[in-house]
Amino acid sequence: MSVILNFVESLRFFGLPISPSETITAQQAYEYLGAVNKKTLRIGLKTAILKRHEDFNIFDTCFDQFFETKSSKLKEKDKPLSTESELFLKSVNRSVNSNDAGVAEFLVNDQMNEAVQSAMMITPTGGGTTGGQSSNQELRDLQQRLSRALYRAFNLEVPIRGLTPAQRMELNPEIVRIGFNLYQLFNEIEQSTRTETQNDTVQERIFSEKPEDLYQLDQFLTQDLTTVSATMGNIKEHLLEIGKILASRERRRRRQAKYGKLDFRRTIRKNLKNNGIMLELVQRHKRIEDPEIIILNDVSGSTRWVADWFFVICYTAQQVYKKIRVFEFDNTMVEVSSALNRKTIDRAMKERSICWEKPLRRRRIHSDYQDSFEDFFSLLKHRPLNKRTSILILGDCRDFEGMWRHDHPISSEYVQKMVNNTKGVFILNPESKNLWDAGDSVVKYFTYVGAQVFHVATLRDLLDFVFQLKIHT
Amino acid sequence: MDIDLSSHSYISTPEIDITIKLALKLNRPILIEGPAGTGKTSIAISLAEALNWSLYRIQCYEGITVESVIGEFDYRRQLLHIELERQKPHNPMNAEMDLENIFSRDFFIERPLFLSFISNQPNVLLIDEIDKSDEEFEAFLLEALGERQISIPELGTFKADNHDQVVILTSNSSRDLSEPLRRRCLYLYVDFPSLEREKEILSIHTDLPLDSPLLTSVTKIVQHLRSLDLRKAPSIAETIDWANSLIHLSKTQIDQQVLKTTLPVLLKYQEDLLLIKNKHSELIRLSNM
Repeated sequence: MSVILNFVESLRFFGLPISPSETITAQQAYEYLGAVNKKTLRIGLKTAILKRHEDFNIFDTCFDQFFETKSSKLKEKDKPLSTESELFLKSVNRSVNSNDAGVAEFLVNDQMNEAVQSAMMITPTGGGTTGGQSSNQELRDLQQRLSRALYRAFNLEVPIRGLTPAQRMELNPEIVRIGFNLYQLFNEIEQSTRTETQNDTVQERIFSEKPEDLYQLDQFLTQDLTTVSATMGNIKEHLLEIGKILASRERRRRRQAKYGKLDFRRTIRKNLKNNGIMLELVQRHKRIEDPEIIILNDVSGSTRWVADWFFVICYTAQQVYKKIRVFEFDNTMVEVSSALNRKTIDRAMKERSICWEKPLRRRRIHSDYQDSFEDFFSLLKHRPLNKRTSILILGDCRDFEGMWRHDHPISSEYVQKMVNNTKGVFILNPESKNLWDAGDSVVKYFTYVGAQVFHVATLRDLLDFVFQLKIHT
Repeated sequence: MDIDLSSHSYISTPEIDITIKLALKLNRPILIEGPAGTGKTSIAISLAEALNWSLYRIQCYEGITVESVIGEFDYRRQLLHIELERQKPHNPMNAEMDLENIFSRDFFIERPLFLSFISNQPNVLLIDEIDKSDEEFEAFLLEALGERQISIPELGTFKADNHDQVVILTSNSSRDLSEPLRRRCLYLYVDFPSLEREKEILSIHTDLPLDSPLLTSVTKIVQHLRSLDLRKAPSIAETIDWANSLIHLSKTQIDQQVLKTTLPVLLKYQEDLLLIKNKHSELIRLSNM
């Protein structure tokens, strides 16, 4: 049982959610298939343990490493080690001397150099299992430094254990291999120092560290948008999860909305076979067309901090709205809808940057609603607006560089054109209401021509607006 | 138990064979995921044929209800029965007994899930495209898959005692399935086949020999098309259709003209056809390599 337990534990280290029942199934598969044929065992354990193909890469790498290590350990009978420092150094040396170029390179690169040097310094004072407080403290410091170096070296935004299935699939096998070997290495240290560290295990300390904001998602969603951090970390993935729940709720609502009033004629006809007893009711079926939604996201300096979050929400919203197009603008407009087709949010963000490589006019970063809306209509040339379309604009309506005609900004003429040709134009303004119409803000001119302006104070407001009924009912 | 799916026109892989073996041994359902058209449903059909077991199939769709897979009371028969009872001389005891009677199995229309669970005969239960069903239906299946039992309030709980049963669920991942459902199943991912496996599949379904140049060209082109960023990659069924179309047109090799005229058999979106438009010569070159 210990073989499978250890193997499962190493997979859990990478964030694979493996329950005890899956471990039992894996053990049963292990007993049934035997460990003789490695290929058969790999398939058997994979089918019993994994539940998502995104985890295949991690599984394969770990399987190779685990069962290779296990067989080599059986061959070499290590003599018992007396001190944790000796053990650590032996493990480091074994990794450096082995053919594991990735680990060796990782262990001796600049970021790790300092940490390894510290390990070397422990040796003379190494107190072993009876070594006293100082060496244990040094060991703990070393482990923390290793942890930080690990994240820097792998350029990970979040700890390995906090990755989502999509992120796990993207994980480079080399990183998995290095991570696995480091995990084993720390595990060995823990084995020798278990008496001192049993309540504070190495893996827990090193690999479960998560950014604080991950635990504060709810608070984050209800935080004032003007104070929201632009650093997304893993929160965007959690936002996607919330989006999934909202999308599922919205789909159900729309399904129920399809059923209309009672159809008396058809009900009576249908129940003739029941001697006229109304056992089966027939409802009218409403034909609900998929709403067409166009989203214009202001990415100029003044709203840049919220634009990224809104893009993530747009990415999530496509689960509900099949006909969704997203544009972004500052002083020009580009369409970034193609980014929504990417399988992961990270890829979508990259594709979004690519879309900005060829704007219609040179970017000046400052917002210009007039030029942007002009570009918008030229981009729409082949698919003009229609009365089934709703336009959603996220922006602070600060037309910094836009021109004026008589007593109104020219951009408001474009907004009027949008209002006249669509079902409605909704502007979501994250700026505090007392700043509206002050300085270059043109909120009132947009409302004069028929746009509806809403104040969105939090990310939760944004999510609710996109997923709830306001636009399409 | 050795199961030979190839004798039933299914070219298997070690992954499929071992998963089926484990499912039979551990008595666990199998969840098969993978892109559309990779032969997920065919595994269940071929398995039932290979084992000579009955096949019960549930085709999931949005709005599928528990009644449509377990069964429901035939209220017309119930009404008729009540009407008949009315003709008889009145007896209060009879009326009570009848009320119990009309909610017995005699008045119950049994549907695939129920039939499969109560059957004494070995069988394969295929729950196809589970991702198309709603979350409520998925939640209902948890009891059936985990505890292998079905509860019907009027009739009681039915436990599947038959150990010769394989439950296979398929999904195209159009919706993410819940973790509890995944946890109750063995997992199998069926991707598009490798070049060699696809050649074998085509050879079985088109009667072309394995070393046929046409077979090789078709397979190479399809494999290359799948590597492109198409809206819909060609499935195995479409590849077979394409190969058969070429055979019917008496073509022994693929040239630009043939490719241009027959490509709509493989690609079903105009944008995909436009994407390939300038790559015809490249595809021909690849197929001859």
